[in-house]
Amino acid sequence: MLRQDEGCDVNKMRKICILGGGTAGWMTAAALSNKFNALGLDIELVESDQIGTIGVGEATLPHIRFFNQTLGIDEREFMKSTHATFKLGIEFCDWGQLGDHYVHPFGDYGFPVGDLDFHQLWLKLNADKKVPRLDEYSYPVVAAERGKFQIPGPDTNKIGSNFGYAYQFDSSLYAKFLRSYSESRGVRRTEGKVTGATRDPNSGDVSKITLEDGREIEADFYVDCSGFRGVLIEQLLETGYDDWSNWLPCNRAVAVPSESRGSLLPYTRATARTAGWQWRIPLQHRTGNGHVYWSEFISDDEATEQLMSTLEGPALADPKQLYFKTGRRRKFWNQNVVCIGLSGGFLEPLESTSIHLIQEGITALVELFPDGRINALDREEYNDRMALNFERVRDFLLLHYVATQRDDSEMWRYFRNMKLPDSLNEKLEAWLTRGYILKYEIGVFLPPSWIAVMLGQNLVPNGYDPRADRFADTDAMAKLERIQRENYRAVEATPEQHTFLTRYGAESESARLAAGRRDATGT
Amino acid sequence: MTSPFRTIVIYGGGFAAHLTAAAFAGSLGRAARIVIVASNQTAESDALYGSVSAPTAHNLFESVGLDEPTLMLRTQSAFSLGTRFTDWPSRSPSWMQTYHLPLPLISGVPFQHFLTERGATLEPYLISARAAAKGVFAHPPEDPRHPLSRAEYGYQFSVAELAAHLSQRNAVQGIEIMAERLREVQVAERKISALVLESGRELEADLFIDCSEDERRLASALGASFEKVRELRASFTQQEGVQLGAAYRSLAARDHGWTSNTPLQGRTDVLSITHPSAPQDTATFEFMTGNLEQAWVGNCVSIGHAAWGVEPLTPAPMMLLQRDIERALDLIPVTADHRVEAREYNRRFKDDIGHATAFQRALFAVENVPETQYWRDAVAEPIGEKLRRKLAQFKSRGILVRYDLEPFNEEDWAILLNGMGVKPERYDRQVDGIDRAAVTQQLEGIERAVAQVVSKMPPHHVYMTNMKKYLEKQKHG
Repeated sequence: MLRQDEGCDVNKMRKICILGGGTAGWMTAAALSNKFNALGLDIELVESDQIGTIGVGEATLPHIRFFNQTLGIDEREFMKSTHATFKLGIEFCDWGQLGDHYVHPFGDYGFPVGDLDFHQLWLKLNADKKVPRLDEYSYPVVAAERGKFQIPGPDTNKIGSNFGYAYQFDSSLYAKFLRSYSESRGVRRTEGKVTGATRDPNSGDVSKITLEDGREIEADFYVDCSGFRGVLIEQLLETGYDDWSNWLPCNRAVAVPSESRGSLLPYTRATARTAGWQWRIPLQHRTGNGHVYWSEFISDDEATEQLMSTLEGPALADPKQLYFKTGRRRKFWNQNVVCIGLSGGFLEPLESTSIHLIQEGITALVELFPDGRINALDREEYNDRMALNFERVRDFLLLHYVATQRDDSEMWRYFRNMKLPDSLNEKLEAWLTRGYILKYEIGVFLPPSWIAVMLGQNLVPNGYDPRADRFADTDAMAKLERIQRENYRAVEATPEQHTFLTRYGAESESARLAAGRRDATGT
Repeated sequence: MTSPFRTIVIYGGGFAAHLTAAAFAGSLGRAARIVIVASNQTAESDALYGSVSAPTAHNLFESVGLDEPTLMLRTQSAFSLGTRFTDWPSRSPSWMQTYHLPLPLISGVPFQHFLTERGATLEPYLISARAAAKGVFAHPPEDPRHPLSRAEYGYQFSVAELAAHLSQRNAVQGIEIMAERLREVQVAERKISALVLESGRELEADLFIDCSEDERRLASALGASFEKVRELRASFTQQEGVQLGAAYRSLAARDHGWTSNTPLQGRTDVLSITHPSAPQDTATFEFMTGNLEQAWVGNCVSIGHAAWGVEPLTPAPMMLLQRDIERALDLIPVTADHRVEAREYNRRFKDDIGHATAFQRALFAVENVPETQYWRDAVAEPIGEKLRRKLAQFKSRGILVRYDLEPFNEEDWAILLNGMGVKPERYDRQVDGIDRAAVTQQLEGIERAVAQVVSKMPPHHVYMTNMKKYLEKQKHG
């Protein structure tokens, strides 16, 4: 069955070396050890304690639950170990205009009526300003706003069960959690700093890497999770990088953890600033904060000052500075190297896509896992898939910057004058004309996400789908009211996130202490 | 702001026109006035919509009153588990192109890889294929634990009969049907300003729909150009008075093309496609495959054969007709110049045509075809980049590349390529790490369960008779 002439010598692919042990490295190690453990695949992960990981507390997308489930990870154990909180969406503040805020939820608005999308019915009534905001028909929005959470039930025909959820967690602890998972499945961890790598003169493949102390590691296949540097994919193979800074120009960030204040919120917040935006990620034991900015228009000191002055509780560490360039590696798989994580590309974490893109990279690698000498078709497919993933995320991120009425700073004026990619332009035009969403199947952000951001940032369509006119206003209104009532009833019956988390058995040790502190400060 | 009431004028009197009108009326209800200018009552090319629909057509059929009881009680339609290809010049000359829900993963690994590893065929694990081959039928139950719940089905029907049914229904549902010839299409600034009928009556509309089959009268008036791919000839005959056959269409390759038999209640419809130069013995008509470069031009959208010609080898023609209608419904214009709507419509149109024809083109990704014009032309058609990628990846390692919103789903493709005898060169290595005996047991379990259920299913015609009795009783009780 396996033809030798294709170079498919199943015995050749015996050893995989993963370079770097951050979130990307250990997620890769965990997935590969889970999938290929039974084949006796030798997986060695090289990381250096001298090189810190970027992990700064991470918000995720619902897909991560599938990743964890595939690994057979117990949700409660995982949440306790990483101080994870549940996440129903992201709250965006000051994006459309200063003072605005909206939640981009993990879930649909209402339910479609036959061939008519729910939001079209809403648009029809909204034309005469007869209806409350669309958010009232989304369980995750209303629940998030009230700090409530529960796991969705099985019946997705009920509004209180028709949503997804993700987590907010400490990504360095997630890496640690996956490290023990991987090591218990035979992954070897080697402490050491990579100082050199050698290519096979004939094939051009990476043949070995050299560590600082002179040790050498030879593998058949390498996964480069070495972060921005891209030790193999770029420094050695010179794969090249597509720079997307003209579309997403923010190029620096400063991050700092702080003590939590107030109740434990089931959502991430992203607040627009004059030269970037700021994140707030509530974990069980502390809050992660960061300011992503464009260095052209704000100095590092100013950016740090803005961040520190808006923390809700005392800082728990010194602020940490990060530098990056938006874009993606020209090839995600080059020779016998696949790059996963920051080595593959960077898109600012405005929609919590960093870990998701790692997951996409791993999923594609598992499906296209080489079984012998590298097959050019595997590589082609991997690269095509990942390129599409990155591009579609990019357009969605860019949407946040251009769907705005802000022009109060150089950065906002820059976006105002930007020539958009055609793909995004057509999406915006179709929406503004008639609330129409250009759908795609492959890619992480589905129509409700586009609706959430566009409406949330005041892009109200001028028209609506004429099919909505088959309903008289009173009938349409009755439908909407029923869904709103059911939604409120469902949210009413939902506990606060902290109550649920405790009852669920997912509260971490230090979270108990943090909760005590919160109570003591009386906030 | 959008005005709530609009007029839609459809030109054409055949199946596409009536199906479109009915779908628009159902979807827009009181929000629109719908007019059909039925200058030509019957279109012989209607037969080229084929005689089968995929499971995806159920919703559309229901929305136009062609729900299952109506189809079975009031027309000669039957159930359809797929199409059986025979004598095809592929590595495996015959297979059942059936409808099926996704195949199970085994220990998280896609089913295909176990077939590849064992050199096994797919068909024994497809309950719909096995039931079809045995001539039996029953509705898939909802209980997901039941093996038959994995089956999916479409319908076998006569397009002419459905068209007649729809035309009667449309007439009583408030759709204005004008059985008049069209004298003139008045065009101003690349838009139709009015249709002038023989009686002198002038019709204006917010949207014109050209359903005039290959006449393309409205589209041509706006300068739309049809890009021809191939010339073909069709012959269509009926054998009356036979007992209802199996719940599948059979399609056999011939030296000069192919012939299909579609069992209906009380008759069998026979359709043959050849190159126009082939010898002929029955009444025939010629047609072209290809499509309009732009299906929406100005204020006119072309639907069905007015927009494309596709060989009725698979349910592709019905799928495309349905997609045309859905696309048009999604984009009933609200702008004055239709620019946004037309652009999006044409983008989706191009994708759908490309995806549907790629599936059919895959049928001709074969070697050693008969030395006739039909087959020479068929294999000479270019293989586009998307299909190239799909075939290459399947051959290489048994995976199916996906594109956005394809009409044929992953199972359709898996069944097609496995059926044609395409063998992936490699399988997923994870297979080697899974207990082989346990997998064997699982596979044998599926095969056994399939065989067992199929052995208890009634013949298609018996099931039909009983179901109709039940439906009649319900109606009167």
